Amino acid sequence: MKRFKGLAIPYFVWLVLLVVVPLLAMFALTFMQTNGTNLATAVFSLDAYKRMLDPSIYKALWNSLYVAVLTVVICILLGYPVAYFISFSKIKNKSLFLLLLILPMWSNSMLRIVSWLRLFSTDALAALNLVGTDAAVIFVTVTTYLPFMIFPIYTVLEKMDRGLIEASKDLGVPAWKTFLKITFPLSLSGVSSGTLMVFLPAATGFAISQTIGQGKVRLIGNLIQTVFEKNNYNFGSLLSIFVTVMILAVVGASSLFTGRRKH
Amino acid sequence: MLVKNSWKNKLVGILQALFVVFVFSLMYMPIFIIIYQSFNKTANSISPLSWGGFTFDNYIEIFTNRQLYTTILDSLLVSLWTTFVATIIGLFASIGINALSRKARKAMDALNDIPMLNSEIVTGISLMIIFSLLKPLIPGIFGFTSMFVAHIFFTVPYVILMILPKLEQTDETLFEAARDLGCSPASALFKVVIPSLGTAILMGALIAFTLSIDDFVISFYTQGNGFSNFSNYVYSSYTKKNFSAGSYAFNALLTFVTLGIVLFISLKTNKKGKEKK
Repeated sequence: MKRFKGLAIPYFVWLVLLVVVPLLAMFALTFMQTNGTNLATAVFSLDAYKRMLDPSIYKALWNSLYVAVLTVVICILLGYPVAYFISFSKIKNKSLFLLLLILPMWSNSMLRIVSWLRLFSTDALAALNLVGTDAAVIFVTVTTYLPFMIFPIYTVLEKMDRGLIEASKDLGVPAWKTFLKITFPLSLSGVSSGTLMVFLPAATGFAISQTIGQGKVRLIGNLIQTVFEKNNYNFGSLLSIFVTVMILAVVGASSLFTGRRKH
Repeated sequence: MLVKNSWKNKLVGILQALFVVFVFSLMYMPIFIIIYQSFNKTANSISPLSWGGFTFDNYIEIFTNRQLYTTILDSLLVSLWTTFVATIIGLFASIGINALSRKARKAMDALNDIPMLNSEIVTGISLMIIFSLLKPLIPGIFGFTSMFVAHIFFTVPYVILMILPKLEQTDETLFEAARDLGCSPASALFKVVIPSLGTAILMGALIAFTLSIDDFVISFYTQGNGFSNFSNYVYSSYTKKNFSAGSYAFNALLTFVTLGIVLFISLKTNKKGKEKK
């Protein structure tokens, strides 16, 4: 089937046009002062780079990291046991559980956020003043991305050779030690891909922080959104490139950790 | 020993089940609220979630609220076309990528990963920049065209992710056999290779539709000229406080329909499995 090599070319061109060209355009925009993408009045400027020193950026980066790390930790604490219990349960129809995991994702994500917002504003919960807090943003992020953590862990646990656990049991190793020495280390690849799948959208999203945070929880995504809203494409482009580089660095580091993932 | 521990095991089992139910209820809470609100007469009242009585009015609103049904139709238009086109592009791109040499393959994989890994907001903005640079050439680009291109862009990598591994497992001798029996390369591809990818193609199409219909951020930056999608309608109408309770009804309807289809399929496959036994 080697003769079909040529079929990759149109898609390659498409990717270059929509991935590489925009990145180059953004990079060029960082050195200018323009009104939106109107290049007619463009002048050379390093303002965007000067603004990178602004403390609000470090605050937003710190908030993103804080929200994403806590989200990942809570997702592991809630998701790992669920994946484990389901995988090791004697229930026959396990595919039903998988279905139950996917089903929430078929509801519109924006409407789900709005529903949480309505719930947080009911008389019973209004006293807690949840809207506009980090806690509420983290909570909603967790409930939104939890399936992305449960899925890979569950898949790894299902594929695991149960004979190893049986063997450990037969050798008289206590259950908790079997878990720590065998089950958990073997399921780490699931945990790490789940972590990546939760961490990236949690750190760079802006829908949840915008709606649940009501402008009080400012993540890097919110910062980028406001900068573009103010028509500052130069500083906005720099921030976007910065986020892209950070993401690629995180992904690169994690693939070094877990070995090159197979396609 | 087993008998002695049985009550303990039972207790552990119950606690485990309770934990699973608790976590699932966290994920399902918004779905329950959406369904509850879809039948609630006072879904839009100032005191949130207060029950004002049972009604089907919200469901009727889907067909009477012009703004709502326009965005729903826009959403479906973009998502159905995206599913169709992205699946085809993804299929042929996968066949091409599969044929590449190791080195070219590596570069292609890396490039194909970027739309999946990069933050949605950066993807949305970079597409918006490209479209605004093209705007002097194509004045009406913002709207259906921009959103359609954007949705194809971010869904194709997922389609490839579904199809390519399956393609790698496909036995190349099947293709060779078809060639030896006198098939042209193209007809061997269409008659032998592509049919063997059936489920993977279906999965790819399903994931493309799911991602497209739910998208908020990328559509936020590529909407325009009065063309938007459901997520953005919910966002903007909620912030502008002219939110239609018909949104709950539409979403609930979608949940019921997908649940129905899925239950139907799983019942059917269950039956088949039993018959086989």
